[in-house]
Amino acid sequence: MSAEFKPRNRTARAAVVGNPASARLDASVANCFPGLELDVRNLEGRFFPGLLFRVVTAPAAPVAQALPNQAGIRLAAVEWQNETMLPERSELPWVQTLLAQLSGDIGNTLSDGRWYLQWIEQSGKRISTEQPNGKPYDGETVWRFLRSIALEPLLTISLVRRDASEPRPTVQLSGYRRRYTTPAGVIAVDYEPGELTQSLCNPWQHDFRDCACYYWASNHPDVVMGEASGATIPGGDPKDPTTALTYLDWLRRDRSPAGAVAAPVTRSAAREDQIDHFEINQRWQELEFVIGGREIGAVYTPPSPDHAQPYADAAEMIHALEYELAPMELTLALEYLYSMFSLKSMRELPKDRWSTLADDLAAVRQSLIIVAASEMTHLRWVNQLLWELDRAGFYPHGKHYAPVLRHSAHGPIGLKGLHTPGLRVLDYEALDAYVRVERPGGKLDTAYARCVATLEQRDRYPSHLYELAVKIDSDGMLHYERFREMRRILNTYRGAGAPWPYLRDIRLGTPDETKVALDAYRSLLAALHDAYVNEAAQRFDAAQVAIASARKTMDVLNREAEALAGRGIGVPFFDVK
Amino acid sequence: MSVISILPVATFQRRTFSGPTEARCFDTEHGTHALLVDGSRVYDVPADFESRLNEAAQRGPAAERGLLASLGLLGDPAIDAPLAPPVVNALALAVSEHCNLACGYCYADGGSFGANAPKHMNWDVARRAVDDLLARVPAGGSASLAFLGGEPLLNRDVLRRATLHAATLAAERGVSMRFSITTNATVLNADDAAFLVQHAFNVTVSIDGERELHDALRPTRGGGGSYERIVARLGPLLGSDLRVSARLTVTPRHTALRATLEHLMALGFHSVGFSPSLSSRDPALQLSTGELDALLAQMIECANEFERRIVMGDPYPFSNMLAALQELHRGTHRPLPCGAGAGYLGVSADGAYSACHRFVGDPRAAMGDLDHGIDDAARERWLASRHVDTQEPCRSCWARYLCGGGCHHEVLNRGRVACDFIRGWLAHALAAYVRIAEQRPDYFR
Repeated sequence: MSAEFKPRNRTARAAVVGNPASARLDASVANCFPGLELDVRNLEGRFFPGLLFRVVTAPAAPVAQALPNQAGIRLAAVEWQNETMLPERSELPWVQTLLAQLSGDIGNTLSDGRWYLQWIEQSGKRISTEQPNGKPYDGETVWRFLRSIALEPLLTISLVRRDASEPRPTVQLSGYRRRYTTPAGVIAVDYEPGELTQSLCNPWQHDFRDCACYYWASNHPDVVMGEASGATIPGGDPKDPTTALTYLDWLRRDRSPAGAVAAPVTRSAAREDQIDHFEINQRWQELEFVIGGREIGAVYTPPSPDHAQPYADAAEMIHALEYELAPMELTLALEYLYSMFSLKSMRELPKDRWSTLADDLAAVRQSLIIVAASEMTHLRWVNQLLWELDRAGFYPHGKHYAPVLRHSAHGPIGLKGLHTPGLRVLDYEALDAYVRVERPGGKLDTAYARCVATLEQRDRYPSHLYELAVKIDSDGMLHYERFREMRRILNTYRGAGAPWPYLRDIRLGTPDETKVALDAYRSLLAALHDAYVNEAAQRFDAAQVAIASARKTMDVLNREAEALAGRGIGVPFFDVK
Repeated sequence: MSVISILPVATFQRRTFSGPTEARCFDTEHGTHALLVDGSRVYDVPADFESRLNEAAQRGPAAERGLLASLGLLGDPAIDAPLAPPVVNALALAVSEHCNLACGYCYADGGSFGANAPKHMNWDVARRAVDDLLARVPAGGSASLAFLGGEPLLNRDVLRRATLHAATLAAERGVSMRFSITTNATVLNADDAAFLVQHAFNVTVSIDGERELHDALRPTRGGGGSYERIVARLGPLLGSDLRVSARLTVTPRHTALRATLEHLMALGFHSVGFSPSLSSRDPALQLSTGELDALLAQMIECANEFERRIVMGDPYPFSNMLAALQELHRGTHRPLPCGAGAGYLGVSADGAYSACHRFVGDPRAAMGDLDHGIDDAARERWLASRHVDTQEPCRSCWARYLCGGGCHHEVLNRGRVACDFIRGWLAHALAAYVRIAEQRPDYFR
């Protein structure tokens, strides 16, 4: 259907086949041919008005009966009747000439035999499709030549009939290269429905199911929270704790409520209950949108906004950030790290029992490091918020930003002050304590919500500060679920009784035993201090040097702490003041 | 019935229509548009499309279709022919073939359909009709029961028992049941109103306008007016959640339709619709061709006000316009004007099936009876012979799938006298559809 006919009512819209007007090449993720949504070679198939070509690649192992010299850009059809570039009433001489040729003798000539593109000429330059030795280039090679043709000026092409005896007949035609998209960027209507995908061998859904590399197709959720239906608590999570906290496999085959069971922890265990290749071709539309880690059904209702109390002024907020929030982030990061080092390495696991333990422990270790790293990130963002507040002139008179890199191991923190900081092995009590401290609505949560509420007052604060606060506030959401999940996984081993089969027997080390690790930790804090000071002063090169040094030191610390833990010694992080 | 023989049907049927038959172009301030007849599709089209279409139309419908095909605008035909009779899931019970009013234009001749003695449907007939209906509708399906007459409330006992029976049976069978009634509202009492509300009836009240006009057109048998009585009795219904529509039969005496329309809206009806009087017992109350032109002008005046209000976001429940826009947006395409003889049948007081409530006692549209069951062969013949593609001059009219050929009862009794009126109305509605869609894209979903 010509683009000039725009469907209005429902039956007219339903009658449109092929690409909707919203299908745009620039929205495609195809990197090259054949690509994922379309085979881009098919665009060049119509590069010249009135002719349809196919890119032919020489087979790697041709059958004995195969005709020689098939590779190249082969003419598939002469189609001038519905050609939008060749309207019969056009007043352009080149259109009328080409129409007369294609609808007349030349068209007839071309409809008989095997015709191939022989050469292309534009702006006085000619590209031949034959190698110097007379053999044709492969279709893929010539296709790359075609991609170099400009929209202007006029183009001349020559076609040669390969299945004729010498001298082989040739035909020369002139015209403009097709514009593959409309001025609006929509794929031109000259392409028939299905034409751009017809040469794909494998639907994109298979990549989407299986790709595990750093490629767009692997960027889909693995485990998700189920759709929140029914009663919810403030923040939008379901009131029913089972729905609220069970991770489902996003690719699960059984999408009924009965299929809403906790996702297996390992890839291999999960595989058999996931939709398979053939199914995903048919059912990919059933995969739900996921927002904030939760599947969204027919209608997305954003959670009601928090109504946190803003701080009275910038000074009060700065005080909270310096003396409560930043220290709390560092404290939690250290607690989680200590707990992580208390987990047995693969070598230390019993060989004869607990066949699932290795996988489970890998999952728990991964979750724990993610949460710990997230707390470290928050620490940096809190510092950034502080130095940005200073730069914007909100610090109390006479005061200026200084990096906040201290823990608050003295006195309770968290929800209603229930969390007493301590370096613990990851036993069940520790898991319970972590679940409690990360519980939504706890102090951690509300403290940032108050920052957001404060900085939301746009007439008083610049908008980039608000955005930074929102970033911190919205990042911590999954810590609670992660700890719940770790507890669920490790509950399997509760029946074994203490000592827990996944835990190292660890005690806090003495300063002498742990000197290397503690020195590394001190250097790390010093490097971070240096980095923050430089960044606050916008000396980014110096900041980068300091951050690189901090990273290197973290490696040292990690190796040393792991080695100590293997010998039953924990690093007394809280000893560093 | 001898009406058909005394009316000059043939003169109307010979009229021919020239111009394109597969599409119709129209202009608005937003450009040139076209209705493609097959599938009732509406498109924006290039300005030269009309001349190309007309040129093709000179060469005949095949050339028109060729043009559409070359533009990629021709798909598989959207209309089936012949039609297989669908399941009958709607019945209209003429519970009372008697009326207390004596409207001069009544198709039912005062409710008696020309019979000598007016009849009431007895409970046994009503019960068997309901049983018959619900035996055909599969579980999970839907069915509807309409009460017409005469004046159905003159036999309220059977009306209520039939309703209760159908509701019970439908619930047992898992069928969703809808009820409707067309009444003159003169004997409606508070108890009736509560009953209609309880069963979520769609209520249509026949009312012809302001008091003087209405009383002249819809007198009681004693010659008195009925307006005051209706308005007094409608109170409880109009105050309820029910959708209560007013249906006005337009006669040559209606000369200020917009005022009449707004008068009825002000009474509190949820919607108000006009039906032209085309086949009347009293020829003075039937619209002539010239009067239909005048009616069209008045309808367009109402439609323009509708458009102005809708664009401003005000409700203006003019149901002819509401229905036309809805159908144009959905692309409604029908091979028949209504469900008569297809999914819908009328049942007379003595238990005979007919194509619809208007054909009670009419052998041309007899469809069996309760004793012998529905005559499916007769339905099949009816659907084949009434298909708009077999009708003249419909076959070559661009509006054929929007109109469906016009009310069978009126066409069989008087011929197709209102074609220009229908086309004129649809042409206006098409342009209004585009204008409203441009100004209020949220209006159509």
